[in-house]
Amino acid sequence: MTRLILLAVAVLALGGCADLGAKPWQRGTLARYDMQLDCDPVLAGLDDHIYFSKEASSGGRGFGGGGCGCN
Amino acid sequence: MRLIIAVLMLMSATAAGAAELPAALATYQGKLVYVDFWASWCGPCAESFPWLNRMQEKYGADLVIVGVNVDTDAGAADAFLKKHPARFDIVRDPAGRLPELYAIEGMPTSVLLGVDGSVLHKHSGFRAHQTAEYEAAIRAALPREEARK
Amino acid sequence: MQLKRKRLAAATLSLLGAAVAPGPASALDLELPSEQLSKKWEFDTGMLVYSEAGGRVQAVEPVLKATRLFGQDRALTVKAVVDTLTGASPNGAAPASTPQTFTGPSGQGTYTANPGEAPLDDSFKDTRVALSADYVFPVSANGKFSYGLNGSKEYDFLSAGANARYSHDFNQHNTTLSLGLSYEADQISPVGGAPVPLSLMPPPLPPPPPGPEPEPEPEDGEGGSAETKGVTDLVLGLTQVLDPNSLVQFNYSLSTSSGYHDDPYKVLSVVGADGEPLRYVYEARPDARTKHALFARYKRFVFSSDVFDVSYRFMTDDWGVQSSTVDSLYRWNYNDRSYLEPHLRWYTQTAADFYRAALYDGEEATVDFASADPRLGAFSGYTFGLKYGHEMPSGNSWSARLEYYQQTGEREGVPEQAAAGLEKFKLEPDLSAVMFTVGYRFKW
Repeated sequence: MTRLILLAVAVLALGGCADLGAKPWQRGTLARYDMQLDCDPVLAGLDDHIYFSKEASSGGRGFGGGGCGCN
Repeated sequence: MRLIIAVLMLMSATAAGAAELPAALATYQGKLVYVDFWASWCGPCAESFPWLNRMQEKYGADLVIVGVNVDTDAGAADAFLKKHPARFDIVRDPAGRLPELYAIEGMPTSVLLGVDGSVLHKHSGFRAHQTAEYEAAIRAALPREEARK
Repeated sequence: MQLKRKRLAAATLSLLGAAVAPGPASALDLELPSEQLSKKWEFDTGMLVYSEAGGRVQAVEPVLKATRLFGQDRALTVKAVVDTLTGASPNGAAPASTPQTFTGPSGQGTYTANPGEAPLDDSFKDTRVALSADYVFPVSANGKFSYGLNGSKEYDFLSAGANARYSHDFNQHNTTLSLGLSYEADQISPVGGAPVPLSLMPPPLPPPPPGPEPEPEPEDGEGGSAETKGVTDLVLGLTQVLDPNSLVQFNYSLSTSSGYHDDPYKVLSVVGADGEPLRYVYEARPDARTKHALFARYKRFVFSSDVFDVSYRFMTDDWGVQSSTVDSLYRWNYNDRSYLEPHLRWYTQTAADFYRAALYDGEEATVDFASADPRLGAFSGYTFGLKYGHEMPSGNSWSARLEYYQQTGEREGVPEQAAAGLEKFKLEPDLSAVMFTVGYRFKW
């Protein structure tokens, strides 16, 4: 339980660090297709289905973030 | 009136208010400049180029559009230009000095610089349904007779 | 470099408006000039062939996903999956020293397990169809909202669900907070009706007397009762760009479900002190489940061309299952168009509180819940895989991936009174499977 709270605090603290990140004009690498968190969603969906059928855990992955940050 | 404003801007601390244009844009000193920051990896930039071409054609005599490219890979920028031809000047800035100077907050960003080098208008992002607003900012900066056309 | 090859692509295909630069925040490519009649559809297709060793489950699963871009960052995605399953699956009974015969759930056909083997029900054949649709649109300069519907149908199972998600960017798109909610309603109509939990499994039917063929039983659960289950999911996420080459993501997921969780076709062996089966009873699971999961993922661009990706997920639920998953891959972009991607996944889980390899004579009257489903047992799993991908000058791409998955079970849930008798049998759930997937992505 303590570990969960510490992790949550660390996560929130990280979000507050405005220094962390890339300047808007430095996002070329982050804009690459293979740097997206959801590159190859069809394969990820197939994997999720396999492991959901054979294991007692499922999901966990999130969505959003990264990328070119345009507009 | 304009003289007072120019003096005040000279006195302000922000680099963007300085009358002197940075070295890379020195050739445009004294002109109305529309600086557009773009990159090959920026989707909305591809959308903006046809509109920028139209603006350059329409206000050519009074307005200089300068596309500042921030790609670190020159080849990628070249490829983008082949696919989205630019009928306006292109300046390469792989080190990112100009975007840093104008403190841009997103990609793409357009900065409208007056003839005295000050920042008249700045906007982040390019959305096709907002081009009327972008054009209005240009027209507001044009010399009176031109804006009436 | 991925960016260099675009020069060739651009030179030859400028007229077709093929995508050249990598897309923005998601797999969507949103760089279509809205004025031109350029490609507004993106198709992502794939097919999985899954094959377990030992004549167990075989599955073929084609997927089709289509995204229609509407400009201004709006997009509609529809996805269809067809899943055909055949092969044998453990029915939950433990091995015995003599052959064991069972009747299939439809009441027709029997299957027999050899001595020392865990019985496998091979009457299991199923086709599942799943459909989903999602619409995403911006709500402000930094916010994005999406909502969707999904449904699936198998011969004894029907589900319908809805979901909504919102994500908001901060710090010049370096930080993204997201929230997702979804609800799914399931209807389970087991063949022959849902059995009473922990009730006796009827002995195998004798062969029918010679004469005219009897009327076959309906293959779906129309003759029996239908059970329901509701699942609610919540996901909270934080994505943070660390520097121009890396980013990290954290998620917390909460899932609560209530209703019918039993597998109506699974049984447990009730054994005597000698470990031999006396009878079989249907399993029983609680009618509620709450799962918590914490997920962390790190992605980094390395050696100016490759991508390293590693993630960790910790899951705990109120059934006593705790699991850890480490998933990592390395995309080696060895030239402008192609890549090789080794993949390694390690998984471990503890058994559910009510997981039992078998019950001791009389326990079926005293326990609240019991299940011998290998999915709820204790095991570790490894996946090793290699994926190859290639991008064509048109901008379309294809990939092929071959993987091997192995589960190694741990001996758990053995009743003390029969421990000595069951010693001679292999009770740990084991599994090994080969998975082959192909994918093709194109714009139109």
